[in-house]
Amino acid sequence: MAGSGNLHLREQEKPLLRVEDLVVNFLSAGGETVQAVSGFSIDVLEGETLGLVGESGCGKSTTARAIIQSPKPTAGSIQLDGVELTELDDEEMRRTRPILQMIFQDPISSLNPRRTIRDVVAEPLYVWWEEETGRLAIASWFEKTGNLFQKISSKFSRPARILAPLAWLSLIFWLVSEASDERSLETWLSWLKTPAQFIGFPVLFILAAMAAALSVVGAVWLVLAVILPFGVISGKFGSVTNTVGLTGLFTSLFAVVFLFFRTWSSLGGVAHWLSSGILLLAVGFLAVWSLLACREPSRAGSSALAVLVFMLFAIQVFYIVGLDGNTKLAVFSLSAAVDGILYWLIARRYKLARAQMRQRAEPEVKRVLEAVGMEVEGSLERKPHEFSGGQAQRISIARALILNPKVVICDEPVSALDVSVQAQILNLLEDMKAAYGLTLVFIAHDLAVVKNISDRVAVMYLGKICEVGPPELLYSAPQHPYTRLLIDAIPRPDPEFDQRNAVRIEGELPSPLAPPSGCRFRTRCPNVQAKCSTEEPQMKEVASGHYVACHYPADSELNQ
Amino acid sequence: MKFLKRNIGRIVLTGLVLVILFAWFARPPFSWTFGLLILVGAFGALVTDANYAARRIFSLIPVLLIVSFVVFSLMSSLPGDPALTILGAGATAESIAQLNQELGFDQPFFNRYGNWMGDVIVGDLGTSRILREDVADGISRSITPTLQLMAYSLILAVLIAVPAGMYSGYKNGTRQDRIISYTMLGFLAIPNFVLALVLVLFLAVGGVTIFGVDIGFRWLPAARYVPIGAGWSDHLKHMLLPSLSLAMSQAAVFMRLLRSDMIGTLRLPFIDLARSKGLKTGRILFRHALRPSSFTLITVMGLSVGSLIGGALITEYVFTLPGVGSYIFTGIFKRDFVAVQGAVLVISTLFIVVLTFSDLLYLALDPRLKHQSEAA
Amino acid sequence: MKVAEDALLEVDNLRTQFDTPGGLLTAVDGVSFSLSKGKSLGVVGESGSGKSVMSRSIMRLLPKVNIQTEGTVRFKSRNLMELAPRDLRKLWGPEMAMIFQDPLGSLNPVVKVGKQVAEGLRVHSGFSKKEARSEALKLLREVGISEPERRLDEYPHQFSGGMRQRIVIAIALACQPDLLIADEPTTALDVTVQAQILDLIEEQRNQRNMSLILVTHDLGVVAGRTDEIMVMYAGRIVERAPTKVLFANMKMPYTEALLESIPKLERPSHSHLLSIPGQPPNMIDAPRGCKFAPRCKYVQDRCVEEEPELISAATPGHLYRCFFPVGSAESADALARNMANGKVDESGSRVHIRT
Repeated sequence: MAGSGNLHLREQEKPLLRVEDLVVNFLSAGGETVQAVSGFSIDVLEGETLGLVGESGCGKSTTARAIIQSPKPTAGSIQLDGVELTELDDEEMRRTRPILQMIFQDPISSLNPRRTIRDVVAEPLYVWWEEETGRLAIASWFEKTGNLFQKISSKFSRPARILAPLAWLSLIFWLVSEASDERSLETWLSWLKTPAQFIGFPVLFILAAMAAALSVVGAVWLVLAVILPFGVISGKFGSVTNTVGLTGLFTSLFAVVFLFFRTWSSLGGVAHWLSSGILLLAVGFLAVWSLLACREPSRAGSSALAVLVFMLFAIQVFYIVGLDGNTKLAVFSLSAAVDGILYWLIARRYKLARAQMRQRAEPEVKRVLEAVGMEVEGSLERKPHEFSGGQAQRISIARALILNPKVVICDEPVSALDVSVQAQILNLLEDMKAAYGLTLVFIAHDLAVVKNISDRVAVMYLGKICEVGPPELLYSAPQHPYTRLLIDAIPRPDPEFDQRNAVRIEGELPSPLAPPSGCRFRTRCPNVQAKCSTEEPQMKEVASGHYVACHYPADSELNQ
Repeated sequence: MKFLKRNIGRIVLTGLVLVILFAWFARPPFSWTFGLLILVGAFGALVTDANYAARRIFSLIPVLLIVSFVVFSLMSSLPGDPALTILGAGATAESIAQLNQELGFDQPFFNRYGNWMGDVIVGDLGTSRILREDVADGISRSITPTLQLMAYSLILAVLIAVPAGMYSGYKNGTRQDRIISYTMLGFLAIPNFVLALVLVLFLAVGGVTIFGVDIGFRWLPAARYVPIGAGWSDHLKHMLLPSLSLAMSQAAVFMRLLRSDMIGTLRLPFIDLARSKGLKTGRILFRHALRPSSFTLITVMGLSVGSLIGGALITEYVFTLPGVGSYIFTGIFKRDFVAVQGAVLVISTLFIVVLTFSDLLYLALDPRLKHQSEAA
Repeated sequence: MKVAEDALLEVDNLRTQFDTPGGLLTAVDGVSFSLSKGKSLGVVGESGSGKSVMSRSIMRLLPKVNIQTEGTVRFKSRNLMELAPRDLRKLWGPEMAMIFQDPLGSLNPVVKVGKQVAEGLRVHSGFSKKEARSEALKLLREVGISEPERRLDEYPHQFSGGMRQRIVIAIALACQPDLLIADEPTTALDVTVQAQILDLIEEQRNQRNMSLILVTHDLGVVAGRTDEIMVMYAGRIVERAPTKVLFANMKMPYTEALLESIPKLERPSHSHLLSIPGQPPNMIDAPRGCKFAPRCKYVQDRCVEEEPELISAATPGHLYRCFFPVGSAESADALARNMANGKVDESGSRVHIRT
C-alpha cells in the first residue's frame, strides 16, 4: 500500500485542482527529516468533492496545508485552475485567497476570540480590500500589539499598576533635576511629621505621577513606533502613498541619528544646517504621507502618526536632557501631554477606519450568515465563544464563503462535533456546494462521514495514497487491506454487528522519520508477504476509476 | 565527528570554564566580568542541555555590546563637565583642557568607547578621579548590600506570594480570596519608597501623634547598614524593613499571577483525574497544581529583577544603605560619569544574566519545552 | 422503580443545579437508575444533555461552589451524598474510577507517567515506591503499551493520543475499582484508535468483572458494547432499555433522530442526513412540556402543554418518555399532520423555526 504512481490522475479531463508528486518534509526535534507526505498525487474536477481519509499522522492535514502553501511543499506541483501555486510568491499567493479557502477542525479556537462575529466573518474582506487598494497590512500589526497590551494589562488592569511605575519615573526625574542637594532620611521624615505634609506629600506625588502617566503613553508609543516601521517595510512598496511614507520614514530615522550625533559632538556651521534641513525634510515627507493617507481613512495614516510620535519623542528626550532643573519638569510634562494627544488622535483614526470598513462589509456579512443558517440579528456583535460548536463551525463556513471561493478545503470540519451537529454541518456543506458551485476537498478520519459527502475518495497512509476510487466501489469492494481495516473500525449503530470480532488494526503508526521500506503499511498489514518489504507497490486500476497501490489487493488471485 | 557535533555545547562550556579558571589566577577582575555568565551557562547545561545553554550564553554577547554602547553614549551626552567638577571653581581654561586630555575626553567618541570597552572586557571599569578609587572596587564593595537587599526581597516576596496565591486560587471567588486579593492590590498601588517611609514611620521611629495618642512602635532600626560579619541577627534586623518595603509590591504581582494560573490549572482535567484517584487536597495543590501553574511566575520573577534593581536603588537611598544605588546617586550628583557608567553597565549585565537564568530555569521546570529545545 | 438485589449503584432522583449569573441552571433533573455488578450501561446524549454532569455528580467530583446536588446515590448500599470528603477519597480509586474525554489534558504534563500511574497505588494500597513502580509497569503492559520499562519515565507529551488514553485507563484501573465511569473516552480520538480503546475497556471490564458507565454522544459507540443504553436529553432520562431492545424497538423520537443523524456506510453517497434542527433547550428557563418538542418531528399541541412521564413499554426494562412513541399509530398520524401543516418537509426533517 501506500504506494507511488500517478495512474489514477485523469489526463483526459481538465481538473480544477491538480496535485502531482507532492512531497512535504520538515525537520523534527532531533534535526531529522520527517517525511510527512511522500509523493502524493490527486486531481479534483470542478464541482467534485474529494474525500481524503486516514489516521492522524498520515499526512492528510499536511497535504491540505501544502495546497494552501503554508508551509510551501518540499517538492511537487500543485495547480489550481491551471496556475502553478508552488511558483507563486507570498504576495501572489495571497491573491488566490478569494478562490481558495480553508475550514478547520476546531471551530471555536480557529476563530479569534477577541473579535465579534461581524469582524470574524468580514476579515477576509478587510484583507482583500487592503490588497485591492494597495494599503498596508499595518492593521494586523496594530491588532497584534494591541492584543498583547490588552493581554498584559488584563492581568494588571487596576490603575494602581500603572501609577506605581509612573511614580518612579516622576521621582527619578525630580531627583535628577534637584540633583544639587542631597536629602537625608531625616529631612524626608521631617516632611512627613507634620499632618499637613502627611497629606500634602501624596497629593504632590499623585500630581507628579499624572504628569508622568501621559509620558508613559508616549513610551508605549515609542515601542510601537519601533515595531511599526517593520510592518511598513514588510508591506508593499507599490502605491504612491507608501513610497512617500517610506521615504519619510528613512529620512526621519536618519535625522534622528544625525540629531543624536549632534548632541555629543558639537557640530557647527554647515553640519548644523544640514541636520536641521534633513529634519525639516523628514517632517515634510511625513506630513505629505499623512495627508495622502487622510484622503481615505486607512491604516497607513495611523502608522504615519506613529512614526511622528516616535520622532517627537526622540527629540523630546534629547531636548529635555539638555535643559536644567526646573524647566526640565515643565517641558517634560508639556511634551508628555503632546504625546498623549497624539496617541488619542491615532486611536481615533484607527477606530474611524474600522467603522468605515465595517459599514462597507455589512451587507456581505449578513448574506453569508443567512446562507449558513445563522440568526443574523443578535449574533453580529457576539464573540465566538458564546456560540456552540456547531454554530461556530457555521460561522467559519460563512467566513470561508464570503469571498465566493471556488475551492474549499475542509480539514476535519466535523471531527470535534456531536453526531447530531455533524449531520447538520454535512448537510450544510452539501447545500452550500450546490448553491455556490463549490469544489470541496473534505478531510476526515471517519470513512462513513467521508463516504456520505464525497464523489471520489482517497485513502492515505503515512504520506502516501493506498486506494482511490468512487465511494460506492471503495466501500462495497475495498481492495487495500488498510481500507478494509478502516471500514471495520467505524462504530455501527447496530447491536447485531459484533464489534468485538471485527478485524482491528494493530499497533501504532510507524514513525515518519524512518518509514518502512517497500510498502509503508507492511508493518501492520494482516496479509504481509516477503515482496512487500522489498518492492514498493505502484498504482494499478482494479475497476473503472478504482485504483489501488497494493501487491495483493483483495480481489486479485494472488491474494489467495 | 558526530561526537563533536553532538557535544559542541559541552565542549565549548568546558573550554570557557577553563579560561575563567586560568584568568582567576592570572587577572582576577577579568573573571568577574564573564564568570557570572559562565556560571549561569554551566547551570543551564546541568538542568537543560549544554548546546542550548551555550547558544543562550553566546547570544548574550551582542546584547551586552549594545547595552554597553547605549550606556556609554547616554553618559557622554549628559550635560556637565567632569573636569570642572574635579578641579573646582578655581580652574583655568588651560588646566581644564589639560585634564580633559589626560582623561582622554578630547578624543573622538568611538575612540573613547573603544578604549573603555577594551578595559571593561578584562574587568577594568576605570578609575574615578572624583571618588579617588578604582570603579570596579567601588562597585564590588557597594554591590553586596544591593544584592542582599534584592535577594531578601525576592525570598520574602515568594514566601508571601506562594501561600497567598495558592490559597486564594484554591478558594477562588470566596470572601477569603477577595480579602487577600484586595490587600495585595493595595500593596501593589503603593510605590515602594512611600511604603518604606510609612513602615519606618510606624515601626521604627514611633509613628505619629494624633490628639496626644501615639500610633506606632520603635521595634526595628530605621536606617544604617550592618554587614553580615557584624552578626547575622543584627544584619537581618536592619535589612528587614528595606526588604519588606521592596518585597510587598513584588509579592502582590507574584500572588496575582500565581492565583490566576492556579485557577486555570485547577480547572484542567488532570486535576479531576487526580481527585478521582482519591488524593488529598494538599497533595493535589502541591504535587499536581503548583508546578504547572508556576511557569508564568518564574518568567515574571526573572523580569521583576529589573524592577527590583530599580526599587533597590531608591530603597537604598531612603534607608541610606551603602549599595550601588547610593553609589550611582553620588556619581550623578558629582558628575562622576566613569563611576555611573560602570555601575549602570554592571547592573544591566546583572539583569540580563538573571533573565537568561530564569529562562533556563523555566526550561528545567517544563519538560515539554526541553524536548522542543533539543529539537531546535 | 424495581431495584435489583445485586445492585452496585443505585441513583435515585439525582438533580444537579448550577448557580449561574443568568439564574439557576438545572443540568441533571431527576435521574434514577440502578446498575448491577459486572454490567455495563451506555449513556447517550448531545453536548449539554447533562450526561457528563451526571457522571461527575455520581462520583461527587463536582466542586461545591455554586453547585447544588440533591437526591441519593447509593454505592454498595452506602449513600455517597452523605459521605464526608475524607471517606469519599477512600472510595475514589479502589471502588470507583473515572476516565475523561481529553487524554492529553487528563495527564499532568510535568509528571512522568510512571509516577502518575503509581500515585494511586501509593496512596490507597500503601505500596512502597518500588512495589508501586513494578505494579505500574504491569498495568502499562496490560493496557497495551509497548516497552513499558522505558516509557514509564517519559512525559505525557511524548505519547500519541491513543497511548495517553491507555495510560489514563491504567491509572483508573490501578486500584481495582468496581465501577468505572468513562466520560466520552474516545471523542478526541481517531476512528481506528477509538475502536482499540473501546476494545481495551471492554476486555478489562470482562477480566475484572467491573461495572461500566460509558458516556458518549454516538449511539454507534455503545451499540454492540453495553448491556443497556440510557438516552438523556435536557438533564432527563428520555429512554432506557437493554441494548438489543432499544435498537429493535425504539420509542423515543429523540433516540430515533440521534440514530438517523449518523452517516451509514450502507447508504449511497450524498444521501441527505436527517439531522436534528436547532439547539438543546436553555436549562435555566426550560420550556414547559416535553423538552424535545421544539425539535421533534412528531410534535403535537399536547407535547408543548404537558411533559410526558417516564413510562414502561411492553418489553420489560424498557422505559421511555413520549406521548407519540415511534412506530405507533399515533406517531404516524402525528407525522402526517405535521407534514400537512408544513412543520416537517418532504424529506422527513423537522423545519427549524427560528425564534
